[in-house]
Amino acid sequence: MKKFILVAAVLFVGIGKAQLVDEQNVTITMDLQPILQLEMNGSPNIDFVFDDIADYMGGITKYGATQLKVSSSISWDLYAVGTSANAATNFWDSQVSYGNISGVLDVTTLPLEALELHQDKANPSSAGATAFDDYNANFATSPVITGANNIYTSAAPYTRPVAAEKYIAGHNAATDFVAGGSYLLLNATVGAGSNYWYSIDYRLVPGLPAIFPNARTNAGVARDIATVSGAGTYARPGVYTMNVKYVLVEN
Amino acid sequence: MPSFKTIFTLIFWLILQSGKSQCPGPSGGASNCDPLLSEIRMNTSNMVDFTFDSFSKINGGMEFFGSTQIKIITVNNPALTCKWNLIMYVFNSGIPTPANAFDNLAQYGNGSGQLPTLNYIQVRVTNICGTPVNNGVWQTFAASSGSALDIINNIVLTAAGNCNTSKVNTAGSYLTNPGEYTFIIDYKILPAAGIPAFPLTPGRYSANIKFCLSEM
Repeated sequence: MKKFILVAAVLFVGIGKAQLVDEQNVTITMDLQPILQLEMNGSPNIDFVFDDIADYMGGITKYGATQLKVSSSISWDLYAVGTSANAATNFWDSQVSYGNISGVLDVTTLPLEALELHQDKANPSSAGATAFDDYNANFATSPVITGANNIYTSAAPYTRPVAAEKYIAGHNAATDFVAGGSYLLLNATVGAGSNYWYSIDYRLVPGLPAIFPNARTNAGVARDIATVSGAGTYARPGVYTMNVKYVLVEN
Repeated sequence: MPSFKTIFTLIFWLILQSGKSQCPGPSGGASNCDPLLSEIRMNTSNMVDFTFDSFSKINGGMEFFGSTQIKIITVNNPALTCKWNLIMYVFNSGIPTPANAFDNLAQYGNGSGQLPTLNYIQVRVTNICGTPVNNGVWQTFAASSGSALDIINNIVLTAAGNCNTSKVNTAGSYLTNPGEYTFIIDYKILPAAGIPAFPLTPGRYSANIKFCLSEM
């Protein structure tokens, strides 16, 4: 017992001689959330009114109707997808029909691929693409049989397009992406000249008869009304709608 | 007479307490400061939470001013002269976290990118009299767990009371000389760090900053 008291005494003395050390702690937490920010300037409603024969023949083009601006903290891909309530069959939604409706040759099966897009600069990263990689080709005189500008369509718009489809920037392969950044940042191609800013033109050409002769898949397979719905068919006059989604997704 | 068990428990508790601090120990010389009466106080939150939930915050960074206030009391041992220093350290929790990085608590997205390194943390220390080393200057920790930034580290014994940026390090108290024994700490993190492409992996991260008061 005496030995333990002695040990205790020694330790007390030792502790009593301890030099001052004291501390306070602060925990720094950093929550880095992945930011994918897509701004769209321009009307959300692109209205094509075909009310004279020249519009049917030559089509209507809406230049720079949509400006897409990206700011992202992670690597990203951007694609456009055409969809509708009839997306499973790739047709526009028919809202109203005009005139005499025979229902034989005048059909409402307008293919979504009839819509053509043009982007102002080429896709900066698309090495893995196996067909047209973007919408950068200039609109050619109708009829166009290549499929170079026809919108990608899908009933599952949030499933990324495969390698044989078009993107605006980046592509299906893991190595095809645009690095995180922004059109706001000061660099050699800041603003509208950068890979973070795209100007989109739209074109619809009904043709005569109104079969939308330019409608093609990305592989060039015809999707015009006469091919899809049968020889002699044409678009019934009326109001039609479809939805174009611009999807910004992490690569 | 206390029992053997009581004495043993007391010894064990005292040994445990004496080994509790992770601050690097003092110089090992004479004990001139009273370790029981001297202390470092912090009555601000012990959490500084940077939530980067918009592009603007990631690109421009975030600052928190005066998030930490450190208050010092140091007392002489009888007939001796106390001289102290105040140093801040940054730590992660160690393996498996790399020595230069934040602890990763959660990962967001597909995980491509890099872990943020500890040198993303910027701190600025000030007080009324301007006594800290690098008073009012944004400083960055080295990218290594355990790296330090001095707040007061003066080998010359300098008494309080003048409030003239002298590195006061003698016995005293924030109660009597608040301008020399109180320290305000600001924090800043710039995830983009001025480069066009953001290299960091989205996720939740943490690091520990210790404010260590010790005798010189």
